[in-house]
Amino acid sequence: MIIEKQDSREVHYFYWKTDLYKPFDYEPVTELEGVLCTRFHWRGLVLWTDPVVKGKPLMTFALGVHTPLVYSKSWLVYVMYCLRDLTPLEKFWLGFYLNIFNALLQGVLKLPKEGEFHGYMDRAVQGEVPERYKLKPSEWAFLLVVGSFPHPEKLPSEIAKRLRECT
Amino acid sequence: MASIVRVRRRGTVTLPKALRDQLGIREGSRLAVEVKDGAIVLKPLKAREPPTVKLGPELVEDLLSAGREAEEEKLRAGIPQSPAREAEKAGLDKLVEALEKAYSRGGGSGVNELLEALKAVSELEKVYGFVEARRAGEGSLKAGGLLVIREYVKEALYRRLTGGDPSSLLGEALSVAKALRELEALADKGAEIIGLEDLEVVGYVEGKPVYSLKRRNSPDK
Repeated sequence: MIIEKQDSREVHYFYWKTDLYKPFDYEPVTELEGVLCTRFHWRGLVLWTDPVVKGKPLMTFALGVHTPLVYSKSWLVYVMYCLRDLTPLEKFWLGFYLNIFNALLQGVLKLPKEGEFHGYMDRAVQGEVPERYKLKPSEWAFLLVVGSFPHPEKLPSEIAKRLRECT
Repeated sequence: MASIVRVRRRGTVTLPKALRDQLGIREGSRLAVEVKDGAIVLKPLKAREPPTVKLGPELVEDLLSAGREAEEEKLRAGIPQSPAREAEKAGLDKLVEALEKAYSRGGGSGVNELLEALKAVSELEKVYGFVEARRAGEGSLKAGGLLVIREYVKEALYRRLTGGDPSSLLGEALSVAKALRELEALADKGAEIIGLEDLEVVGYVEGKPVYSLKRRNSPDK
């Protein structure tokens, strides 16, 4: 895990050097004005509004899902598009991700027990994140909100700004 | 006088109330169905007798046999593994194997391996085409994934023939194929596979629609 300072916030990048079929993948996690945020497949941004907090919010990775899953009190999911003309690949990954949430919502898929986690700072290493992998919260094609949908005025300012720009 | 009933979707018929009352048939009642001399005969099954308590080895055998029956009942009630679904799984396994083989050779993947992967895509497309009564959302998601794989492998083949490195394209195609397999595994566990068509507008922010899943049954969350 690599920590990057972006202005006043920290972005934590989880990465795999030697994954069998997705090498050199970086999955960022950060906090945008008090809201947990992760990226999903390059141009998707995920806001986690109802995280399970045990001192800090808990997150994990699930097999086949190359993006952090934050333990949530509710697995309700909302989608907003900035661009409706997603590429076929983006459409597929968005659909796949929705199925993961749907399975979590229905109790078909269960995450490991929350008590087994201990934080991840012992995994922190020094290193540079390649430019193309850096998190840019104001650049997304679709936005997912997991949990309750926040009042529009309480959306992080970068998200709200991007929303106003969307066509 | 014989009553006349209409056969509805999936062969459903409603038994006339008078007939049900006469034979004590209620919701949940079990009926034996058979064809006799060109007629369909429905025979109400008697309610199961309460078990009599036995002691010793007989009791153990009964308990074991009850357990086996329950397991068999669970299997019967599970997701039916239709031949089409089995063919779909086998096709996906073959595709993943072909892509893994091509991807494992990185930039050196041979034309033959890429053609094998394309062949596996075509075979799976045929299987998808045969799967009947596929829900629109599920169907479009899977077909969309397969289309992506086909295009990426075709592009990889082009790159290979023009001296380029097809690794990244093959890696993406492989991750989509594995995701399709994950979806199959979720379906096996009883999850309903959905597509983007299964979203509905639930509100607006800044004049833009907010979508959510149509079904929101969250029993334990």
